[in-house]
Amino acid sequence: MGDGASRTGEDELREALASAQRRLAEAERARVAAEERAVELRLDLARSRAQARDAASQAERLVEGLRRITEATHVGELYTGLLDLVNETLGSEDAFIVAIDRATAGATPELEVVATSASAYASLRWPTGRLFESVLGGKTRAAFDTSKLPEWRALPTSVLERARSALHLPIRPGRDGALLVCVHAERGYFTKPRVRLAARFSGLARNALRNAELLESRLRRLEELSTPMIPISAAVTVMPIIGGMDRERGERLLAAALRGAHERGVQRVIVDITALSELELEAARALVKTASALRLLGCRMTLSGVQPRVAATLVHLEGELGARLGGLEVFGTLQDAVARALI
Amino acid sequence: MRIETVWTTEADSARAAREAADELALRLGGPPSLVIVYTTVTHDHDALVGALRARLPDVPLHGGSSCLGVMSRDGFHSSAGTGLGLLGIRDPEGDYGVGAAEIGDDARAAGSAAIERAIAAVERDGEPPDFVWIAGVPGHEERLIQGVQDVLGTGVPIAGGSTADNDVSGRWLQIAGATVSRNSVVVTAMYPSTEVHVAFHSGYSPTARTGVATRASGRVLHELDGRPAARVYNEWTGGVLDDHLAGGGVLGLTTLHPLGREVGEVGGLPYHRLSHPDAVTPDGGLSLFTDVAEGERLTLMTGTRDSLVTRAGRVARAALGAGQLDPGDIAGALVVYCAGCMLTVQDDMARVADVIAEALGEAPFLGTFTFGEQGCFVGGENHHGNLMISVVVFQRDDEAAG
Repeated sequence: MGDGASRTGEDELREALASAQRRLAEAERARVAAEERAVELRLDLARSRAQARDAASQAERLVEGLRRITEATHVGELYTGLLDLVNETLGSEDAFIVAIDRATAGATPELEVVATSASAYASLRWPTGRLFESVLGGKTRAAFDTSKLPEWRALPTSVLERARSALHLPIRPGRDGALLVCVHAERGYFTKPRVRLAARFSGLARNALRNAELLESRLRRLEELSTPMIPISAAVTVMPIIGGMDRERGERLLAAALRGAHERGVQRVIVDITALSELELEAARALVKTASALRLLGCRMTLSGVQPRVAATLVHLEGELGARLGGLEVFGTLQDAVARALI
Repeated sequence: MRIETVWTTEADSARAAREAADELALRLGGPPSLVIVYTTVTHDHDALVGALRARLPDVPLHGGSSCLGVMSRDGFHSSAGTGLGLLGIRDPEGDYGVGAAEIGDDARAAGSAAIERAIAAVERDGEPPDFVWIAGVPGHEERLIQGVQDVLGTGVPIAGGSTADNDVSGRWLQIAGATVSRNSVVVTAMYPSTEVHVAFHSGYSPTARTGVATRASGRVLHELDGRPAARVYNEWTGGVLDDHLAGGGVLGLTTLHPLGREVGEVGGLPYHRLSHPDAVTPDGGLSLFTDVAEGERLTLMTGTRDSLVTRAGRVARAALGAGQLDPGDIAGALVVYCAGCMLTVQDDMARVADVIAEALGEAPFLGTFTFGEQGCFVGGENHHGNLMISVVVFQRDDEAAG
């Protein structure tokens, strides 16, 4: 009995021990499983935080980029802003903008550089192959090795070494297309995260370029309207100045007169300032400058409709320059000037 | 972008391939842009590939052998060690190029040649693919990855798995187009029209047991901290190798206790890639399924059988998380699941498929069982490891999602 009771006690003890070991093993498995999940959750959390930080930083850079490029009122200004911005944002070493050269816009159009952050690219040309056509169609395309791209292959080795990786972004689609090209000397530099960021950026750039082009075209139209050229014979044109005249308007007058004289081959431009009651000194200087520049094109400039206060400014300027006003002929009325010109 | 999968355990190879190919094309609504094929070594592969080519002419075909079967959202598919699975991608806006190269005596050069051919096949020379899918031969993985990176740089995610057989006898094979090979690397350069996201996890937890590889060559770890590696490992694990210290295969004993190496860290938290000890060498070293170098710090990792089952679902969720996607946002997925893990939880493989399906929602997926896994860690590093899981999810396009 004693032996039997002892065995029962031992059995019970053994069973209790086995049960405790099983529970311990289960608890250990549960602990390991819980720890494994905890590690994964911590990694997921850390990754989410890193993603949130990256997203916030990208958003900040994009907003800053948007602010800068939407403030541009001229395409040239926009291009410069874009190039600076992509180099800062994407870490590219150089960037440039290429557009279809209209002179080659036939069967195999070529692309020429219209703006660049580095002079090494200024005179380069690219044929439009499959890749560039795809970008002109609106797709963003990266290259891990430009020497393998048919469009790039023919470029000098020095360029290919400097631009081993490239990222091509569409900024104006279609036949008048333009691409923004970011480059880096490191092979495979433009990884997917950079391409994703750039693709977001290129949408903003496209809109900004469209707006700048629209604005520039309106300004050009406004300029044409504010400095009209009215031909009164094959050789004589009248430019009436309506509204105020300041230095900026004077510069526009100069540009419009030179363009008109060159394009139309006129021999005399009559600038009629009857509507001006006064003239800033800077604007007067612009008038004199216009006359001098026209003379270089073989064209003479006549000033008509000079009012008393304007005459005073011109006399002051004549004293300052110590000479006649750039060979300007001056008439009191437009009729007199026209009559003289048509003789 | 549309993705569909089909599977069969039909033993007649030609018939299995014909029926699977027809079903795939039917479900996709037209010819695929790419077909991924995983098959067991039990098939007649000339007949199988011939039938696939006849049914899907000119379609890029990337494939390899999988251990014992394949996996889909319907479960684990294996009948007497035979199974076949196809994943088809129909994406007219994308490009998918398959390239292959014999490994010969220079695996790194083969990796480079294969990716060059894959890119050239779709005339995207010089352009980095969004993602590279790889199927290689056990024993060369690190050099194959290096070879691909020699061409592309380190910024393109690489994932896939080493081809496998049913009994580690070396009968694994690779498929590229119409060619079946036993010592090649096959890669697909993917330029999909939508985004692709990758997750590569070990899931195991590090323990406090660490040591430095003081003598190592290739895939053999001879000494840890100046002592025979098998003896140190046995002490660390509380004696799992007690009966094997004289030498021999230990693959099944070490699945829950791999050795880990830190690959990187996110927010101060390290993550590891794993090496699976498969044998004790006569000199008391440990043979691994990955390379090991002298000076590397190795940590004993620990996991549980249950975690081998549930972890695949968490890796699938991590892949979705990488792209901040919901299950409804994806068109489909590819899954690489370690064959060693599969053999450990073989009776529970239906549950493994279920947890992945639960994580991926309605999206189809195809899983293969490999003798080595390759993937891209959360920090962007491409690596080869053991006992790992790789999941790749393909985002749906807006039209398909709508």
